[in-house]
Amino acid sequence: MKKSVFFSIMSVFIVILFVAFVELSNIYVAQETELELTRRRVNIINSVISDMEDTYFEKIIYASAKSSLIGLSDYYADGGFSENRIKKRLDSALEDVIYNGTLKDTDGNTVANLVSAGYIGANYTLQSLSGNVEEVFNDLGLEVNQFEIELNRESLRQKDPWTMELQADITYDLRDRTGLASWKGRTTKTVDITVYGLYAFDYENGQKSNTGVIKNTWKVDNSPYTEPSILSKLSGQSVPNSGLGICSPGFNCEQAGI
Amino acid sequence: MGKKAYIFMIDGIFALVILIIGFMVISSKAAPDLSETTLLLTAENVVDVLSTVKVDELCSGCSCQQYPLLSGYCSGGDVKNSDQTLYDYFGELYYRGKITDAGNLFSNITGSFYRKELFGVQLVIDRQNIYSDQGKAESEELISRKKVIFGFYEEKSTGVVRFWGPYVLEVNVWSR
Repeated sequence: MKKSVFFSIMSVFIVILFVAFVELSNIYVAQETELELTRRRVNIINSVISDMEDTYFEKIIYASAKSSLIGLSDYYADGGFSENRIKKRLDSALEDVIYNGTLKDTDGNTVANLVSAGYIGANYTLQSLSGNVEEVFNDLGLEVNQFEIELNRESLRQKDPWTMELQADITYDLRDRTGLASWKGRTTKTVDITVYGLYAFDYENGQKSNTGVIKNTWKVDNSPYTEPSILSKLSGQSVPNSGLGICSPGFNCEQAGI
Repeated sequence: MGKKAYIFMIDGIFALVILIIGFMVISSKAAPDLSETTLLLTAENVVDVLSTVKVDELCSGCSCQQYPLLSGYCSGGDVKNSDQTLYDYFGELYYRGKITDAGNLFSNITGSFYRKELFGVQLVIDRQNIYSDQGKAESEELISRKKVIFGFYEEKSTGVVRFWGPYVLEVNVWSR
């Protein structure tokens, strides 16, 4: 009798052992699957953010800056590049316009909205492009706690006759909606912006002339220098910049000294 | 005799427990399914090449030896910005309405990255199907990669500057 009880208990124990094993296996497989899914999701988002940092942020800055410069120069050209139009240095005007197309005077009053006036495409302001990026993050299941692009105004400089250089800081703070992970970062991007497509003019005999779109037919100014750089021209400055100015084929400043 | 039975029974149970623990340890270290690994590698190959290789790295001027289709597009003036990745170039073609060209080029370039009898690929831009192999719906394993693309091209001879995008580009790879 005692033996039969003992063996019965052992049999039940073995059955319990098998059931426990199967349950543990199921739990283990479920957790492994969930872990693998989480791992892949995090890898995908890491890849997206890494790609954004490597290329996309630079493109945002380039597109919004170039679009703003074209719009500003076009607006100035429609006013004959007069002092009534060019009231600020280019870096200040760009800082106003790049965000949502609103140009302000030195007192902070709105002078013109270059988006509604058709000088700048609504899709390519910093506000619009940042909004697109936030939509992408939302589609990926990320909450955007912070996403800011701040222009470094003092960094705008004429790098060579055909290129301006500009820096901007990008700060982001993203959190996965399930609370699993978060991504924070701050990066500074420097972009080179070509002057092709901008509107400019020549300083022929000290007078503004030959207003037009900059193309590859324009020439680099030679000694004796007559042309300020494009940055200077769009800032309302008239002092030539040695070797940084360009002029249209109509003036041919390349041969001016001959 | 009875005592030996008890001892052997308990010994057998201990052995069973040890075997179960050993089996669990070994199964947790098992290598992933081979077909899943090759699918992942194929998908990563496709995505890595398309997102990093630039058009001017495949061509010398408009001579793209391994991709005559791309040579034709370039000679016909359909490559406005050669300093952009293939992903971005597909986006540019999409922007300019050349969806069939984008699909043909995608098929032509990726055709050398995988065996069509084993895998299928699809390119989607802005939720529009650009190119797709057969068999996606029937596949049990699929890997998807997304990327945001946008870009521009400048025509220095005319001063025209065009921006396009942003679009969400998606590449799907599945095993047949």
